[in-house]
Amino acid sequence: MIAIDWPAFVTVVVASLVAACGIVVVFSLALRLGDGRAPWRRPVSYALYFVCGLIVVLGIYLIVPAFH
Amino acid sequence: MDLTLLVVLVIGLALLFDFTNGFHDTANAMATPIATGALKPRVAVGIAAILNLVGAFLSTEVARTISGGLIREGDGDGGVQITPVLILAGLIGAIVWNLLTWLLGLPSSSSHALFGGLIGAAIIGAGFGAIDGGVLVSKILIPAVLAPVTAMAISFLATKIAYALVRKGQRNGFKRGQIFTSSLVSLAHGTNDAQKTMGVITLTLIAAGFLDVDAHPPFWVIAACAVAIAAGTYAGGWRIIKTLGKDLTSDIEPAQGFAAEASTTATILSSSYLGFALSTTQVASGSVIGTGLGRKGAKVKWSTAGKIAIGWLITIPAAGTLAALAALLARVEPWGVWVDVVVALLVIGGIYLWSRRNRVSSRNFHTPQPGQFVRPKKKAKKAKKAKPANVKTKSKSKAKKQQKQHRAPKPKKATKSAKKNKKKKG
Repeated sequence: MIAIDWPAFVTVVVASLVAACGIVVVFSLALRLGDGRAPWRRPVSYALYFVCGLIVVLGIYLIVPAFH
Repeated sequence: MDLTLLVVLVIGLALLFDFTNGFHDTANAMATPIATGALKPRVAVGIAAILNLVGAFLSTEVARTISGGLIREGDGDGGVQITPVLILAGLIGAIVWNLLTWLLGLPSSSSHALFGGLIGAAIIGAGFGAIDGGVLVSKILIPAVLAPVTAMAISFLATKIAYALVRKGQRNGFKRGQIFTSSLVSLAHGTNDAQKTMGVITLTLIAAGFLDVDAHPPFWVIAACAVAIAAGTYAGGWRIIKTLGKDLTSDIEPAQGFAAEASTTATILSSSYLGFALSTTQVASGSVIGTGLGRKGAKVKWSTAGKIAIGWLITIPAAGTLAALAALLARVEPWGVWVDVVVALLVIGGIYLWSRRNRVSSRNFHTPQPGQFVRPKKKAKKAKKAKPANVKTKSKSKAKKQQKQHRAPKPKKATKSAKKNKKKKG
């Protein structure tokens, strides 16, 4: 029987789209705010890098089967 | 044929397949960081090898069926008993096909090669009834269309975002991000792909009666598979890296590389976690095409993309045919299996010798040094203060060199500053 799990596929597409675009936005903003004169830019940039780090940790969590 | 000897042969071939799996798939993770110069080629494959090694030890769950339901395995209603001889023939088909596609530089899925080989062998062993056509369509054929298209769309969007948000001068910063995204792909590869070989070896041992039916793979199996896939990854399938990193989309920039890998990572992780399996190779290739479409001025070579697509289409039938031939030969008692193994080794040796006619190695990947252009102006000024006499010649020749090496816009600045220095001096 040919059965494609379309709901699962749509979930995968949406999740990947959100995740991929999300990390690109965060990392891009971190890069963009990395230099500039305003004093608030640097801390915000570091905070965004930290968010990227968290996303990497989430990725490792998803990869390692022992965690879930 | 002696069963113990047969099992030893199967384990040897399974590890060889694991090795080809490693070097076939290095490109998925490391093609773009190598292409953009985020990582030096040797460093990149080294990182990938270590992460594959680690990943192999992390995978706890080994598949209960070799073919993931493609072949009606087991003793129940109309099931096929997959004997060690059939597995041997399937592995031969998969290995030879993996090496042929490597020779042609085609990124094709190693899992599909393995499934194809097993299908071919099973058809010889039990006829076409052994194959579940529905599963073949729903698990292999349709995902093979969906995976690259999905990855392409996501990577296209991610590339657009990256270029919209970050100004030209800062885009080299994406190189740092690339290291992390590509590492995640490598780790995921290790946890997924080493598992397949472990499954094959474990199921062979169970079929031969050396292990209990519900046994977990012994430690030596896990360790051997981990080392084989890591060694394969370190060997680096440079031909495939070249296709994916340089030929498919011309001049990949760091921002593109980051966007493509972020899409690959996101798609693979969500597909494996949410239970709609997509092939890593197909996702990675789709991402590279998507990022090529997403940047103005980048060109996607559709002829290369077409070749890759044809490779995907024929992977299962081709590996299956090779395995079917091997399975037919193996039926001839008592020397058929030996002839199989000898012929396979000869073919493998032949492919290796043929590949040496035009070698592709890490040396083919000349990449700009990281940080080479970061602050050409400052460097020149600083140097001028210290030793004005040397600066002129140095910065000039450097700038010329840089211009020769790549047509990046930045070296112009370097020449300007060199000219300035000249004027000031004069």
